[in-house]
Amino acid sequence: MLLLASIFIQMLATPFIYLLTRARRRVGEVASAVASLIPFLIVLSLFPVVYGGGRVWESYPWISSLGLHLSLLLDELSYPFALLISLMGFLATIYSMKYMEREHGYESYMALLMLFGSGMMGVILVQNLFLFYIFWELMLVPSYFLIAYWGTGKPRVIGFKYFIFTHAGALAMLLGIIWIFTITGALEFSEVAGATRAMGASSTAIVIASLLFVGAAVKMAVFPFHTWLPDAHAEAPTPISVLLSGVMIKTGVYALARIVMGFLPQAFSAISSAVALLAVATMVWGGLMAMVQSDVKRLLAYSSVSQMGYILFGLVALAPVGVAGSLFHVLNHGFAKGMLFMGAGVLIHELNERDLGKLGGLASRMPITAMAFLLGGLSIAGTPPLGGFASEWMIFSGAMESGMPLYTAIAIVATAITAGYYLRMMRAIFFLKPKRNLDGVGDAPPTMAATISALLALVVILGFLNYPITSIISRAAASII
Amino acid sequence: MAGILSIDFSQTLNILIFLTLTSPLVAVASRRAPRAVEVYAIVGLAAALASSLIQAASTPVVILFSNPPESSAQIFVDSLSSYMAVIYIFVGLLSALFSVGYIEERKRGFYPLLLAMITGLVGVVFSGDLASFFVFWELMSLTAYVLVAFFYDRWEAVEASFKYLIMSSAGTASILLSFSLLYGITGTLSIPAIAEALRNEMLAGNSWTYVALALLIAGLGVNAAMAPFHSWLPDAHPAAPSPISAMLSGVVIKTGIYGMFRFLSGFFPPQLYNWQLGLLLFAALTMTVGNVMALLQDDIKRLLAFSSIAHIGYIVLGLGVATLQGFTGGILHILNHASMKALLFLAAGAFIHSVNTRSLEELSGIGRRMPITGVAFSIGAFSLAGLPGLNAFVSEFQIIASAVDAGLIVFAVIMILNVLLGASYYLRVIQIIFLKPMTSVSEKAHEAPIVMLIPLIILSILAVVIGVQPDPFLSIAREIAETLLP
Repeated sequence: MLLLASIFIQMLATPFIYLLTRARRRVGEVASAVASLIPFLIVLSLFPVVYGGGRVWESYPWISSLGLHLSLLLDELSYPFALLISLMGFLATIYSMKYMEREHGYESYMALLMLFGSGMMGVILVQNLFLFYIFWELMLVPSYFLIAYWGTGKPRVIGFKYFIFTHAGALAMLLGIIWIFTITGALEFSEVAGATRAMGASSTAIVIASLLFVGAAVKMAVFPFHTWLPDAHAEAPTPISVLLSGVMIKTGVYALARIVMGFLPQAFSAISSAVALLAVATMVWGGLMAMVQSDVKRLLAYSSVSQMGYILFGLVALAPVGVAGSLFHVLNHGFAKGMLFMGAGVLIHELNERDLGKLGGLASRMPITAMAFLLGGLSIAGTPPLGGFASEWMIFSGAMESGMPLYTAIAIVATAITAGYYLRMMRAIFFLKPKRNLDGVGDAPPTMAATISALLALVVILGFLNYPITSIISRAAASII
Repeated sequence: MAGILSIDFSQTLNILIFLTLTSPLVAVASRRAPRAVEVYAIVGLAAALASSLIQAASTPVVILFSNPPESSAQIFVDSLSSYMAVIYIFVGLLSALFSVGYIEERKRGFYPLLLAMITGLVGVVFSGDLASFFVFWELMSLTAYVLVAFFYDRWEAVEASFKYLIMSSAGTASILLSFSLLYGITGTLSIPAIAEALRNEMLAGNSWTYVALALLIAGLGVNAAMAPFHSWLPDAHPAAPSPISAMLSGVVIKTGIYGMFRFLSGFFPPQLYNWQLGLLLFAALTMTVGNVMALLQDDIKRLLAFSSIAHIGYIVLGLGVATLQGFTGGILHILNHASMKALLFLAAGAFIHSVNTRSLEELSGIGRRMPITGVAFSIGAFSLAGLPGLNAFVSEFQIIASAVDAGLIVFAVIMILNVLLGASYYLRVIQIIFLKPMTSVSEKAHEAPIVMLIPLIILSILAVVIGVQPDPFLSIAREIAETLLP
């Protein structure tokens, strides 16, 4: 029941949260906080089981004519993702309460936020391809509305682009899923895996792996499928940027690890050289584009593209340590990027400004936000002893181990680009001379500061106290390779 | 009543024929109280729906009007007929309910026509011989022409109805010619007897059977709006009153599809007559034309009409694959598209009823003023856009899977690309209805009355139920497919 609850509690709560928030705003907020906290508590409470080498498995009858069950699994691979999604979902809900206070349609916003969280949890926990696809698309619909209605700039155009890009990717994935279904006659992960592995690296297997890869790559915003991301993540309302950049694009990583690498390992290794090239292109291209942005959120969005390149690079190294590094980087990047977007949200909320050229001198006025930007940026740039350093180290060792010294060299140089744009951003926002009167400008309001602080603590702690989670991740990596 | 006429059309059709015959009398008698005919039609259809559900549980039924069977007019009801009849009467009932709020003039002319159309539809699927089939087919067609021109003071409606009449009559003529050829070849009009006679290798080599097959596909294709015979549909469906659009797009075009399922699998077994590739090409053309044209529309009902053409393409694809799985998907998609397109036309009708425009430009933001209708419309749109968790995805999944399974990857890819096109225009409509700022027209809108909302809510719930728990519906479709493919 626990896993079922962790997915569906938010979905079932959606209409009530809509009505409650509409009637009494505070009551609705408390309800949505509780509804998004429960999945996190469930995932946290299952930590000892997964840490101890166990798995949590639930199965309920569903469509018998297709041989489908509603089966859910929390194992060492899904655990880090579930943790990230549930925690960030909760923090984004808390953060939204203050950030979205001036927006209209607040009750619909909260309802859609719940649905979004439910969709992401479902993607990570379900154990058959049919349900996987359902939840994959269930993430898309609420996030589309959240971008297209509450976004900034030209939200409808950007929302449309986001929807069509990801939907096109999803359909490529659907074709792959259907193909697997017709070959193996099964959709349950447990039944599919054996049959697809037996296909080896046949040409059909390679085509299917490529289709599935495209679906995951669009979600991950791998070059050249990335162009929706800088628009969508920059123009979404900030708590949604937190979830998109911090969490949702990681579901692409999960799909790649669980389905492509898990079911079609040989076919994936046959296309791995092409994928490695895309990974390097993604990290360099994202980094270069981030260097030249003047909009804080757009810079962070391009940085996400670049970091997804690192994660893909670690996965495609096909070495246990590299894969483990990637999975660990999912967490580090998720927490750090979520925190950075929350920091950018503070700037927007307090100053209504996101242009680097018009900010400056805020360090003394916003110490918590400044800390968040500094540590978040440094972690993503791979500075010891923060979390990002550990995971990038693992990614690079994995890549070296699998004999990609040239690519690894490029990747290491690219971290200098990362450090470059983050330091440039720090300097522009916090240290240059203020371009405007800063009287009365203070730091983040308490609830926003609280969520930022929680992530700040995590970013630092994951740098050295990471053994419990990395031990789970290493086992996951070993099971994939 | 069976005793009075001494003919039995089987329970459900008896009720419908009785309703059709008596409703003009009720209409005449209720000159002072025009609501009476509404109530009469709705109660009668509800009874017919109950009867059709009971009958569906106890098929097959064969009723002969004389002996021997080869030369007799007959009623033949198997699981496919019952399935279609339930869909027809269900959508008909909801449309009638919606009409209570929507049709404000000439109610006494409207409901008898609607009842006659439903009787024609059910009669077509209950017919066991080609002559009865043709008679009921004409009943359905004639009432449809008249209902398209229900607003006869508008030139658009008259023109559309006239175009529909000309094209559809040509199709009917083609069907009739095909039937006469079949009679010439086999010497009988009984559908089971023809099926028996044509199942042999000798006739499969006879060129006249292929002429009959081609004429039949063309004639049924006109009714089903299969490209290139589709051009009447985008004119006729928008011009009709919205509940009638729901009937036309939801169920009337499915009669042609029914004919294809019945005759192509029954008369012309695919392993002997090899019509699959031809139909697949028609299907690919139909879905692509429908979707591409739908992208370009500003009239909300015209957009929905083109989308119907696209979905006919999906169903024909399932038929053209001609495997058990393909038939299952196609048959289930008949239900899914009928219910969702009815939902969309009814919701669009609610918008139109409120602000009296069909222009998407002017309907911007109307969902904020009419949230329930707007949400119902979005559910229908997302369903037909192929979003999983809603009903149309289940059948589309089956159809694509059947194409891949049969090694027809090209057609599966064409369909997937079409699903993407479908998603893009439906998303555009949802965006216009909910996210765009309101215009001076849409600001005046207010939520539809409850009697119009009930059908919308029922259909929305159906979308979610089939989407989340497709098992019973899939197995019904599979059982029907098994009876069609021996």
